[in-house]
Amino acid sequence: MSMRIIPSAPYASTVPKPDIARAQIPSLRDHMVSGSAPAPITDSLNIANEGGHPLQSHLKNWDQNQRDMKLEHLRRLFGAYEPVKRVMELEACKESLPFYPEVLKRADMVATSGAPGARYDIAQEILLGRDEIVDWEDVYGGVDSIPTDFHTDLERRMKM
Amino acid sequence: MVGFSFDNYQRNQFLTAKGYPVPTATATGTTIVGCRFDGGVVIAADTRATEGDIVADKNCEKLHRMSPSIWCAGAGTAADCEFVTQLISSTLELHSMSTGRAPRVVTCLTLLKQHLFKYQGHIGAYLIVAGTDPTGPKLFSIHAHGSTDVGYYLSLGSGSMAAMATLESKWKKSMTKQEAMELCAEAIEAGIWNDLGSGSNVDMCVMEVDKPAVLYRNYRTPNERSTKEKSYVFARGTTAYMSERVRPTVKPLAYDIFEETVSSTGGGESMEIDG
Repeated sequence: MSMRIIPSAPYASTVPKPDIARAQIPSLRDHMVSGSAPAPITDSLNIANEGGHPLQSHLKNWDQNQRDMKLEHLRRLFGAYEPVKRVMELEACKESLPFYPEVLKRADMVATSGAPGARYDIAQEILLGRDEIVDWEDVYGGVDSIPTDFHTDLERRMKM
Repeated sequence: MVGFSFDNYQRNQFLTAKGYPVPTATATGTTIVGCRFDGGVVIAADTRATEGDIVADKNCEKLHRMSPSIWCAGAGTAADCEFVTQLISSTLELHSMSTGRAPRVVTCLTLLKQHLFKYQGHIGAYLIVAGTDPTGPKLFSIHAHGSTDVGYYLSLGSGSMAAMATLESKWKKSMTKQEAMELCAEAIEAGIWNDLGSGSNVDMCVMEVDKPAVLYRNYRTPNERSTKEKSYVFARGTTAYMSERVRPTVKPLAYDIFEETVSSTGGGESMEIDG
């Protein structure tokens, strides 16, 4: 467990051994079914290469890193149960949310804020301590992901 | 991509490798100061905005409102200062609504410095945060990488040396409001005259304990444009013309306008509008 304040370098330092027995049949991702547009090539290049902007990977891993550090602090102060409890609460919150289709979520966002933003569900936001924080992500929502249609959404949720 | 986009980074690297000229860093110019006095705090700024060596705005506003009793003076990249203060101002308001208390200056300071630290200095905002809260008047400065200072008097920006020279020589521990205002105005004027990146007027904001903050826009205007010695306006009729045709640009209204006066019929007290 690390006590890092700043996320570490994004590239992997080890290469995992390929698990041939469990290898899946390779196939191209069907973007029509998944509903998400192919990620911009520059985006994946920037992350994959070490030549990406230093701030990019830094920001990508910032929230998770901060949370990990806080959980580690809690573990050292109160013992393992505290971080376990918090992570379980978060998981339970994610699982127990009533099914709310992506398309409606997107429509809601556009209706309330005028632009699609990266919002979490409010219960989740409270658990993450982000319910009263306004950040650039709320201003620059990004428009590159197309909401999945209702049927795909339901199929994914039901693990079909 | 949500948040800031890095889509062009790889392309720019490629162009650099190909030998295309890379934009160099632009120096920004500003003078901002802050000073504490007995029972309050005052911040001041010049009003020149530059784009490289061009004066982009002669009377811009560098004092930003974070909450009714906390104000912030910004140096560095103007847009970054403007929007980072707006963002944190919103967070501060949400926080104060959640806690049901007036926001504290240290809260504002911590939110700003954590935000700026997260972006590792890429948000070029150098700020002087000042305000009053239940713990008294407070004065802080923040640099773009997230480091902060506490002080009785502070200056920031390219004119900070000129301003600090004035503050160092004239500041004393216990000052009245008027003394502090004069000192800050003088420090900004030192920046206006001696720093090329600063100029025009002096803006000021005074925050006193248990009183609303007062903004003095253009508190001093030492650079007012004088009238020209000669007038270069041509007298009417200088240019000769052969024919004249006047076409009305505004259609005359087709309705008669009546003036209508409403008087109360006098039934005792008038209706209360604000509940």
